[in-house]
Order: sequence, then C-alpha cells, then structure tokens
Amino acid sequence: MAPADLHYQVDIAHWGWSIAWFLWFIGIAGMGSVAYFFVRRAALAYVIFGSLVVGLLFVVSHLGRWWNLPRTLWTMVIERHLQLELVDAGRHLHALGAPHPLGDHRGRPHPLPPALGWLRWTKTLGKPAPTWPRTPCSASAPPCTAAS
Amino acid sequence: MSTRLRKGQAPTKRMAHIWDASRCIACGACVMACTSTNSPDMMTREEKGWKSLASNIRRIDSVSAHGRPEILLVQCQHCEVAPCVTTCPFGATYMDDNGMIRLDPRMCAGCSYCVTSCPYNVRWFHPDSKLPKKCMGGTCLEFVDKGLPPACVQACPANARDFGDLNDPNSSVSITLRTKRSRRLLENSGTEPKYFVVEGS
Repeated sequence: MAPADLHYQVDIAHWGWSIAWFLWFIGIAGMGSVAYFFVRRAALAYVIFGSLVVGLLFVVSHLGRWWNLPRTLWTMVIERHLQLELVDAGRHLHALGAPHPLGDHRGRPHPLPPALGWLRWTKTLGKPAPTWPRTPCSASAPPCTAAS
Repeated sequence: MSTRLRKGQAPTKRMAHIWDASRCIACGACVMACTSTNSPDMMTREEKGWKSLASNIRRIDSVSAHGRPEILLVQCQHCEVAPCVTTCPFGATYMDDNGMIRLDPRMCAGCSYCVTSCPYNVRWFHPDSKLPKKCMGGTCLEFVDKGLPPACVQACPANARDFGDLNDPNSSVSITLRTKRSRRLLENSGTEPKYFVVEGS
C-alpha cells in the first residue's frame, strides 16, 4: 500500500512510513513511563530512554527543514509564539483526572503523592477538582490522616 | 507592512480573492504569472505531488453532473478559521492584520502539517527550500504592501480576477459580491474561506 492511499496529500507533504516508526517508539516510551510509575526497574528505564531517543530521531528525520529546528524553537520563545498553551494543558490534565487530590476535598487538603506534587499549579486554573474514588483508610494508605 | 495577529485579535481588513468563472477564458495566464512572479526557479520543474506546474493556483479540470467540461481555479482561501494556522506546531503560519494567512520562514521546520491539514489542497513544497508554498508568494505580498494587486489579477486578460477588502463596502470585491451570484468552496468545512467563485450576474 502506498502512503497516498491513506491520505491524498501525503505525496505533496513528502511524508513516508518513518512517521509510523516514530509513533511506535514514542508509544513504547509513553506507555513505559506509565508503567514505570508502578514498576521501578532499571531495565524499564533503559527501554524508555532508548525508545525516546529513537522516536525523537525518527520524528526529526521526517521534518523537511530539521536544520531550522533550533532557530524555530528560539524564535518561538523569544517572540512568544508558542502554540502550546498552559491553560489548555491544564484542562487536559483535569480531563484525565490527574490533579484530583489538589485543593480542598471535603474541606481538607488531600495530599498529593510526591511524584505528582508538581501538579499543584493547576489549582490556579480555578476549575473544580474532579471527583475521585477514595480508598478507605488503612495502615497501607499513607494519604489517610487521623482526621479521616 | 502587515503584522501578526495575536490570539483573540481581529484583522483590520479582510482581503479576499474573487475568481469570476463566467468571465474566465481558461488561458492559464494567472497560473503562469503566479509561478513566474513568486517562484521563477520552478518554471521548468514539476511539483511531484501534483504532477503539474508548481504554482500557488491550481487548475482543476472536471466534468459537471450534466456532462459538461468544467474548470476550477483553486488557491489559498485565506480562511478566517484556517486549519493550517491551528495545526502548525511552531506558529510559523499565522494571520496578519489584513486577514491574510502568511508563513514566517524563520519558524518553519518543514513538518508539513499545514500541507495535509488544508482541505483545499493548495499548499506545495518547494523542493529546495522545503518551505510549504501558498498564495500569496513573497513578491505578491510586496505588491499588496505597496497597494498593488497581486500578479494573477494584473495578468488576467479577461478581468476575471479581483482582490480587495471585504470590510470596505466600496471596494470592487464588495460591489461584485453584492451584485453577482457567487459561492465559496467547501463551506461545510467551517473554514470561512475568503475566496469567492462568481458564477454570473
């Protein structure tokens, strides 16, 4: 199958199948990162790092003007033309339910796990924290306090 | 000199193209004028994706539902809701205060997302610079900045092309659109194009 069978502008865009390899490796890195949150193993970390590097090489190789990338990034920052908007990123995080414990949940702070502490900035977005099923208190659940 | 619009800002002008299909004699002068003015190095080379002359204006030959031969000239529509602007990850494609979609070559890394996101298929890649080319080219933008019409409008021997400000009720394009029947291409795509095909009086 030719790439143009999938999208009739592929020939004009000069895209090739290398972008599929990028998706493959970056998918391994992304899913591996989630797995690493639960399974802290050195071998997994090496796989994630290797996949990231290879995926990055593939995505840069499909750029027609890859040599212009440093200048592009520099101009984006200096002239403040960033397409990535932090507010939108915060909304996506809310949609994922990632920052669930921030803010006052039932009138008392719900501590974040140390690895997710950086998500506290999303509190400034003024969005209500999504509901999250809470586990009952036990000795093995460190977020529970004496008050709960 | 035009400036880049920030998010939430509205353009002061809404420059639009008109192609009068009832006047067009299909001579191809606009297509040739576009390439010779904006990309003279491509006059003898082929755009490999289109397999035709690399021009910012595409000529599409087709057959109507009644079996009659038809032609359609397609170019950048300078959409008010431009997919190429929102898909560009680097902000290289932008709308200026004239309401035209422009490209900043300094910020283009050649990802070609703008090429594939254009529902009108009017962008093409320059084989040497790897820049996604479109209407208007650099020389035509200089014409417009000086208050002159773009090359295609100047070259058309049948006066089938026009270019002007939709916000100005006395501009030639506004008068034409008030007095003649016209349509826009792919209106259902929600891009709010500013390229009008005039079909008759």
